[in-house]
Amino acid sequence: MMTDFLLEIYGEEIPSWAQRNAEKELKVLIEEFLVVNKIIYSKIEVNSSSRRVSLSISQIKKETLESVVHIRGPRVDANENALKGFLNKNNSKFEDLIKKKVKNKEYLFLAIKSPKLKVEKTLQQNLPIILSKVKWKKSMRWNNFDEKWIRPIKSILCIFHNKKIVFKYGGVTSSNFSFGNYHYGEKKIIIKNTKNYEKDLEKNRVILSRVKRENMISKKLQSFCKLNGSELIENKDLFERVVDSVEYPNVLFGTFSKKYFDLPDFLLKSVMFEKQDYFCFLKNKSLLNFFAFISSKDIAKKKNIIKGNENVLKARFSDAKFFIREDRKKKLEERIIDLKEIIFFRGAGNLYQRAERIKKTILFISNKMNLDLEKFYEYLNLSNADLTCELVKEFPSLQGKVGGYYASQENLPEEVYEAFFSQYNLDFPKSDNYLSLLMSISQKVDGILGFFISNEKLSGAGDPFGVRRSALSIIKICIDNSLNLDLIEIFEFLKKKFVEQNISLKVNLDDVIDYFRKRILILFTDMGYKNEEVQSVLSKNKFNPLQLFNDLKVLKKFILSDNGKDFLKAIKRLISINENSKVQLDINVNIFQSKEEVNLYKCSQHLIKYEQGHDFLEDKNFIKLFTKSLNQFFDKVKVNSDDEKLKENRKALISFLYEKVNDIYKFESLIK
Amino acid sequence: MLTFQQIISNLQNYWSKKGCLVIQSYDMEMGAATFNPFTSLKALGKSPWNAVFTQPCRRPSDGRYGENPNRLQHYYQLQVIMKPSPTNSQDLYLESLKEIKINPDENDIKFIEDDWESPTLGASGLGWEVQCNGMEISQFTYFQQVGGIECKPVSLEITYGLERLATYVQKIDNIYDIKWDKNGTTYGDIFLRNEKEQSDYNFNYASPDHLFSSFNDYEKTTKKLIEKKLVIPAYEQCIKASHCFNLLDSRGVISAKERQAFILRIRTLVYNCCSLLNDD
Repeated sequence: MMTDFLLEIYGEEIPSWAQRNAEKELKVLIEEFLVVNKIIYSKIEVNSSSRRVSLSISQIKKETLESVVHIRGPRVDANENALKGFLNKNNSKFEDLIKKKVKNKEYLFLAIKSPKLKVEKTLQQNLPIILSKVKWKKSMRWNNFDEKWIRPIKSILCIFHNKKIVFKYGGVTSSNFSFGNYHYGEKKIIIKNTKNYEKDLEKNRVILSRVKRENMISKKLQSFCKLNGSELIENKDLFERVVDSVEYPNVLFGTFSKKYFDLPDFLLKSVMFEKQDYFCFLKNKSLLNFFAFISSKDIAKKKNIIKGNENVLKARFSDAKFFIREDRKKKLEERIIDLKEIIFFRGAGNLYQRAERIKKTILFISNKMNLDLEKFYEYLNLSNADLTCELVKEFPSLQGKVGGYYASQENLPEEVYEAFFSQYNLDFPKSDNYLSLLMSISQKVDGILGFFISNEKLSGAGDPFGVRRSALSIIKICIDNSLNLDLIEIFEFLKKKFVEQNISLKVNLDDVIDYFRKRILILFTDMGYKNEEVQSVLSKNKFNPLQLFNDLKVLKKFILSDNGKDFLKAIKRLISINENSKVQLDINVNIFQSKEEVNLYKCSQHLIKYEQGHDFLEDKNFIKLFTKSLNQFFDKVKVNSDDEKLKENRKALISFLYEKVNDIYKFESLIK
Repeated sequence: MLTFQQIISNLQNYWSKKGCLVIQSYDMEMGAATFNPFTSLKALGKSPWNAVFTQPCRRPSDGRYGENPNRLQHYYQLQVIMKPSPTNSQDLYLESLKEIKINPDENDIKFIEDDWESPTLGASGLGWEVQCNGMEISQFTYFQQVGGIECKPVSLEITYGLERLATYVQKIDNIYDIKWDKNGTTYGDIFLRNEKEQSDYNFNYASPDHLFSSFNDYEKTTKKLIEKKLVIPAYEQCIKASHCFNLLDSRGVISAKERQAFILRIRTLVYNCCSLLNDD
């Protein structure tokens, strides 16, 4: 499709997150501008790379649409002066007026035609404003200019129907030229025809399309793997970063000495992924002593580039070795005292106290589940001792893993070091190491309550403290490992532990549980359940993720069955009657007048038995009986009896039933 | 092969040709050349300022007893500061690399996002770390704020880590093997003993009592000097306080909670100095 408008902001290196951000922002702003100014176009496309953001519009018209604006004047019956004033103000004559009704009253209106405008001119006037409106997480000024951008702008290309539009922004005057790859001489490219823009760039070693850059990298990595029978260790974040780090990706390969294999794999990988942006590989399930990296250059002398990268990696690995050697001088047990010096969340005590609470929470849960974890008791307060280690200071993302590693080196039981190692993991594979599961839950529950205590506001965007991810992770651990746990009970226990440590809590646990309810709602709706279905299983006095999930699965099946449909119809009658009958009275069984009342009362007593919602729905015989009893009651019994006593008693029965049903499932949300 | 001293003089000559004053190192202990008043204080105000200088830096916690080939508690930075930031600053920088025989056409030079923030200076800027074949060789920062005050015009700060650069230029793996001059004197000859002894001092023998009380003294003096509107001496006291804090940190006697409080105390002092300067 023909590109009729092309805008490219070229400048110094843009961080990868900012490139995607700029694409979105710019597109939305331009779209808004086109709509407001009634400019017809067919399609907007945005692209970005490490040094440029570009936007093109196809089939954009040269003139704006003609539009008519109606300006309301005085009422038809207004006096002459008012009318004169209105006409003078708008520089119009009496003949221009039309009559229109507004809310049954007739007014005089002026229809003012706004003329067609030259789009070129409108763009020229508005582009600097649009650029200034692009929002960044952070942006900067440079030189002595007032305008902001993510990094200094060096040139702006702006072409409309193959003619340049000239405007100024950030000390730069727009033009009809762009530049080739900065690392290959930054050749000036005059864009004679916007159709050839991408090709012109490509000739000058700039791949504008992210997808193309991704493919270039993937292809090289794959062929390396094929060649030596290895597999790439997937890392989405890394891939996203490097794709946007250069304008023309060249994949080069380096190697490192096998002597570093005495460092744990997770550390080697972390150094390569996080510190160096290198890809790494597995062969026969072990780490390969090769790495791949993206270079801005692909030249004959690439040996130099590879050697340089190999040296850096060597230095990083030997640094890590130094940290481990230093850390190992002190056992985990000797470190826990230092945790008293490190605050947890503001107002939520220190890390020593946190370790104590986590230990007790683990035992609380294990007792509930009848597990025998007492034998590990002595090790449990070491769970976060690694936070005082040099290696964790250097690699904060490795907390937990480092503790697990040191625990294994100190010959602690396997269950214990595994539990330390994986406690912060968000994706928790199914495990039969209950200590590990319980530690992860306890650690996260404590983290969430600590966060709420410190009164940190949870903002909508992002998840800087990982609270959202932790909550979700707890829910998933419970469901995936069939752990039958009521989180409200755990939070209540934990709250007491905080109090015992003299940490003041102004937290309302309902807020915390509500937070979990929101998370599980999103999780379940993402799994395909309907909002109202999830709502109907969320009871107020319990929050047991496994039970909720089971209840939901059974409910889904139930409401599609014939039994279910009949039952819901009957329940609908109960709910609608109850709305007018809410009373809190005792039921007097002695004044029941009919067998319908007696039957329904029997059902209500039976209902109390069900602890879990799915047990109720799966009891087909009772469901049938209950449905029948409800229908017969509403068919034959007059709730609003003339006898006040009978009326009250029937209302009490309905209220009681409603309440009991509601304890199991909130059918109301399904029915409404 | 370029020696360490040639690297310094080549870079100084280059930037001098580009209009920078060649200044000598500041005679105080500091964690980075940014603390040097010829960087921080000069980044404020409207007057242009272009300078280049080397600055010895001390980061007590980075001491490794001379055992780590690329980590030191005392090292050199070569600092370039240009206000307003030139519109061709990256070009100028890459050209400077040629002066020390790093040809940007033959190496993989990358500008990796690294926004800089100094909590103690109340300063921040946006920019990159510059990597040459995966190794960080410089920091490149556009100052946006110093001492809590917006910078206008914006200054450009380029910081070359001289030892890293030298190992690269001389194609060696160990900082202590850097050739300082043509007569065969190495970096190790000059600094190895210093690293061993100073590491021991930083980690084991610096007196916490003395440092805590010095810190308090510097703080008091700064306040007094600010009252007298003696900005530069006041700011120097902040630098001293900051070094005390760094030593206390390496001695491991500051808890995380206290850490924040110390940083805040230094920052408040710096803020006061800078606002005084801004009033002028």
